[in-house]
Parts: sequence; structure tokens; C-alpha cells
Amino acid sequence: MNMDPVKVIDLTRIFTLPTHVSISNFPGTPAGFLTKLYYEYFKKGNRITIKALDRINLTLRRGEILCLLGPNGSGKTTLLKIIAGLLLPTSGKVLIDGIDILNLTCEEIARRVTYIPGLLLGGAWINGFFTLKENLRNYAELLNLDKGRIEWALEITGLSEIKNVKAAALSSGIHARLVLASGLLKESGIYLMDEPMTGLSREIVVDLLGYIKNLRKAGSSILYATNSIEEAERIADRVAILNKGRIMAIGTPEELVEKIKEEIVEIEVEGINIGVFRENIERALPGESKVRIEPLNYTNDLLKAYLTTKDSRELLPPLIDRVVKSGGKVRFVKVHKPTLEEVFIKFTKLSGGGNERKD
Amino acid sequence: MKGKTRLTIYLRTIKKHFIQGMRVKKLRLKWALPFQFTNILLGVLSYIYYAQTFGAKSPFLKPYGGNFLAYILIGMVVNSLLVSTMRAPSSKVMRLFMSGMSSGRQTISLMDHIMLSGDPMSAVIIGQILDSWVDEVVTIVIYLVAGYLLGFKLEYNANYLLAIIAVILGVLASLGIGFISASLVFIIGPWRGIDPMLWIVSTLGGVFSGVYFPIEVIPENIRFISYLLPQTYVLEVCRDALLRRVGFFEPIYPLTVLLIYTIILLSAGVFFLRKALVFLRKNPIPGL
Repeated sequence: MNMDPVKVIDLTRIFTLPTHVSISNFPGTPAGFLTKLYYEYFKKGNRITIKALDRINLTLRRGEILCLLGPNGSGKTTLLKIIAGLLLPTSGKVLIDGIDILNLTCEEIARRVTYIPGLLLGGAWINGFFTLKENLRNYAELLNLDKGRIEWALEITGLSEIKNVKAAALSSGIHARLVLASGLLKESGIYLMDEPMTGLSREIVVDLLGYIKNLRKAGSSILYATNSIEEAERIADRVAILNKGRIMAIGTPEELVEKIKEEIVEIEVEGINIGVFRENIERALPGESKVRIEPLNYTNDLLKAYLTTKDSRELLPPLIDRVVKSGGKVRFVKVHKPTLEEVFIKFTKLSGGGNERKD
Repeated sequence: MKGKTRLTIYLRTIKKHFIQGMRVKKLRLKWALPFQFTNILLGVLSYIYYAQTFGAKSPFLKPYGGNFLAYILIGMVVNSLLVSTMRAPSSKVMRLFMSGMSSGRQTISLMDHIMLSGDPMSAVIIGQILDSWVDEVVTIVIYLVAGYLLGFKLEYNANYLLAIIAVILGVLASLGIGFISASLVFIIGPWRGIDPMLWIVSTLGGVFSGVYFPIEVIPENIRFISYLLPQTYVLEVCRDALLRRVGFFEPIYPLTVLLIYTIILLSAGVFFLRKALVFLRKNPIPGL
């Protein structure tokens, strides 16, 4: 059977927005796939094999910001380095625009993917004796990037006014911005950002997160590794929670909240002591629920409890009844879904404490 | 066409890294140049006076015209160029690795940034070591000028072309050794500071290749070490060409051995460098 070959036109190569970002007409289609990705390496000194990544399956869609949320040592940087072509996976595949990266040279990968490490890792090329602009020019030459974008990158990262100051005279926050500026010297369909906001002041973070959202609007896909819940909440379309080298959960923030099927109850009482309140709660709650009680005054008779429960409708009537019978008064009750932070803690705790993975 | 493009990329990479290296060197030399110049000058003067004091009477120098100053100057100039070529790749690779930033067990070094560029690593290394060669050329000029002022002269009919060919082959062979040495740095870990390949060839070369004295002085039962070293052949051809003023065909044996060494070492160097880069991508913390 003869079939006409499907012709895919990469529009990112045809249209360029004045804001120096790429455009794609296929939002939602996959930009990158990771399938059954493992990464192991042998640590000679300790005679152990570290399993840094374990069965990673991930799809990065075109025009989305996928936040890779994980604690330190969870495997975020290793994962990004594999996609950038700096490390070879032990097994599994990484497909970019449908092509296995093992079949691409580093240069071909670099053309498709921009890797932006944060200040903690990404500033090795900064020479303190050169000005910010000279540093950026050197970096652009080193990586064959567009020197014509230097002024623009300095401007967008708020460095224009100090571009002629030597890097050694400037703070680590400025260096962090310079690292981010280096990542903006290239148009790319996929951006890999590895904790790029580390060390930056709040107003700069807000500005840059806005810029990252603009990249998404223009069709770029962004895999954004962070351990900051706030950053994830601000920009993520989807969140993948990574711990001990495994994806523990993935979905939109709302979907992740739904996944854990729990409610948080906040209840404030007065007129009873903490021991009586705890006893009331324990009797009213199903066994698996979690409780945290905080005194709100020095006499300890104004108390606030945070309860995690599967069904607040079952919990609240008997609890309120017990508090009242014990001589207390309920001042305030609030029931809400867990926050992303609570979801994150829940999923990272599910995979146990500690981050070193040995086999 | 494709070959031409690859060559263009290769040459562009060399140029780019050379220019970057010179920019950094310029910053350093603004302060350090007079000190370095004085160091080199005093170093060469001490060798020249040493030669004038002890050198002239040795029977081993007769085949070279009996002039120890000429003998030792050629030895030092050529050896200095060969050893710096051998050392430069591994030291540059070590610097690229060590100038990284770490957070826990994760590191992103200058090497990673360079790998992101996709440029051929052998071209990167050549570009990075070109500025060392500039240093070497300056050193050689100082050696020769100081030597000339104190009585070292070459005859007009010396075979300069043959000497240049031998030096070029020697530099290429040394580059091959340097690439192998740099590959070992990728594998054993840059933090160890010394790799065995370079240590063996450069250390033995200082004693056995005839830099400071003719290899005939060395006892016969260990003289085979001299014949295993490519530096020995470079020095032999250079001295034959410049001091004995021989034609192209007389030193055909050492020249042929040198050519074979060059082909083997350079090919092996590029091969091992490619393998080492794959190894590096599988092992994020080399040597640990």
C-alpha cells in the first residue's frame, strides 16, 4: 500500500517574533518524550552504583511549562543534562521532535534545546576581570550563539545599566541574572531551566517568570526544574514531582490536588486546654488522619488545629460536639483543598526520606 | 562540500578558542610579563654559562662540532616546544573541568558548556593550547637571542627546512601524546593532577631523549628507552640538520621513525579523545 509521506513543517524556523522567541502552530503536540529512562553510574570510591534516574516517562508538550518539582538531589539536574545531551542515559530514550537524541550530535541537540543552569551551577564561564557585556560576548562566541542578542538579553534581565562593570565587582544575584541572560542568546523550541532563579531578588524573579510565560505564549516548551513551590505555582501548566530519581506524580496543579483525595480542616477553639483538644480530635478522627495543633496565645486556651482528612463532613460534627461538651467554644472553621506544597510534601514522603539511591 | 563545512567548523573552533585564550592571557600579561621575561632570561643564561664552563671538552660532542652551547640550546628549544605541546592538552582539559560550579554532587564545568556548543573537542583543545604555543615561541626567541649574544651562531648553509619538518612532525606526535593524556584525564579524574602517560613520556624524555647530553652517554643496556621516545628522533634530526648540515636523505631512518610515530600517536590521540568523551557522558564524576 502506497501512502503519501506526512510532511511536517517546522514553523519555528520560519517565523520569528520581535521578542526573539520561536513560534509553533502545534500547541499541545509533543516537543519531547522521555521513555523508561534510567541513569546509573558506578561510584568507584564507595563501590556503589547510584541509580540517579529510575523509569522516567515524561512528555513535554509544545507551548507548555512543565515544572519538575523535586527536593535537592532528586535527579532534576541529571535529567536535564541527559536531555541537553551532556549525559548518556543508561537505558531508555529521549526523543526531541521525534528524533532519538542518541542519533543527534551535541551541536544538533544544542540547536533544538537551550539549557539554562542556575547560578549555583551555571556560572563557570563568568570571568571576574571582564565586564558583564564582555562575559556575555565571550559566552556567545564559545557556544556559537547570536551576539546580536546580547544587548537585548542584558536589557530583559535588567543588566543594561551595569553592563560595563567588571563581574568581580558585582553580587551573586547579578551573576545569576547574567547566567539567565546567557540562556536568552538563542532562540529555541525547548528550554531546559535548572533552578534559574536561585539567588535572585524577588522583583527580578517576578519579572523573569513573566518573561518565561511569554516564551510559552510564543510556542516554546519549557521544562523548568525547581524546588520552589511558589515558582511552580506561578508558572506551571503541569507539575511533575520528582523524588529519588522517580516521577512520583504528574499533572496540572489541580489534578495533583485531586489525586491525593484529602481535605485540610482548620479549626480554632477557645476555653479548653491543648490536652483536652487533642483528645477530642483523636476520638473524632479516623485513624489515618494527621493533626497539628498550635496555641495562638500565651495562656494556651486559644488553639488552632490543622487536620488532614479524607472527608470533613464525617469529622466536623462529632468534633464540634465534643469541643462544646468539654466546655470549649469553636471560633472558626475552614475546609479547603491541600495546597501544592502539601501535595509535594505528601508525594515526596511517599517515596521515603533521604535522596541517595543505591543498588 | 560536507568535508569543507566540517573543516570550516574545525578551523573556526580553533580560532575562537585561541582568541578567547589570548583575551585572558592579555589580562594576565599586563602584570606578569616583565617577571616571566626575567625568569626565562635568567634560566637560559644559567644554562649558557653552564655550557661554557663544562661543555666544550666532552668527546661525545665531537659529532656535533664540539659546541656544547649550540647542542644544549637546540635541545632546550625543541624539548621545550615538544613538552609544552604534550602537557597543554591535559592541563587545559583539567582547567576546563576544574573551573566548574558545584552544588552537592552536581557540577557544571566549562567542559560542559563547551560540550553544549557541539564543537569538535580536538579543535577546542588545539585552540586552547595555541596560546601556550605563543608563550613557547616567545621563550624560544629569548633563548635564541640570549644564545646569539653569547656566541651561539648557526651557519647559513644549515638545513633549516629539514629542521622545521622534524619539529612539525615532533609537535604533531606530541599533540597525539597530549590527546591521549587528556583522554586519561577524562577517565581517571581531573582532580588527580597527574596522568601516567604524560608523566612517563615527559619525565623519561628529560633524561633519555638527548636534550642536555648525547644519548651515547647513557649505558647501552638502558639506551633502548631513548629509542622508544619520539623526542629522541626530533632532536637527532634537528641537530643533524642545523649543526652537521646534512641533506634530506642522510637522516632518513630517524625521519621515517618520526613520521610513523606521528601518524600512530595522532590517530590514537583523536580516537581516545572521542572514546573519552563518550565515557564522560556516561560517568558524571570522572574518577570518583
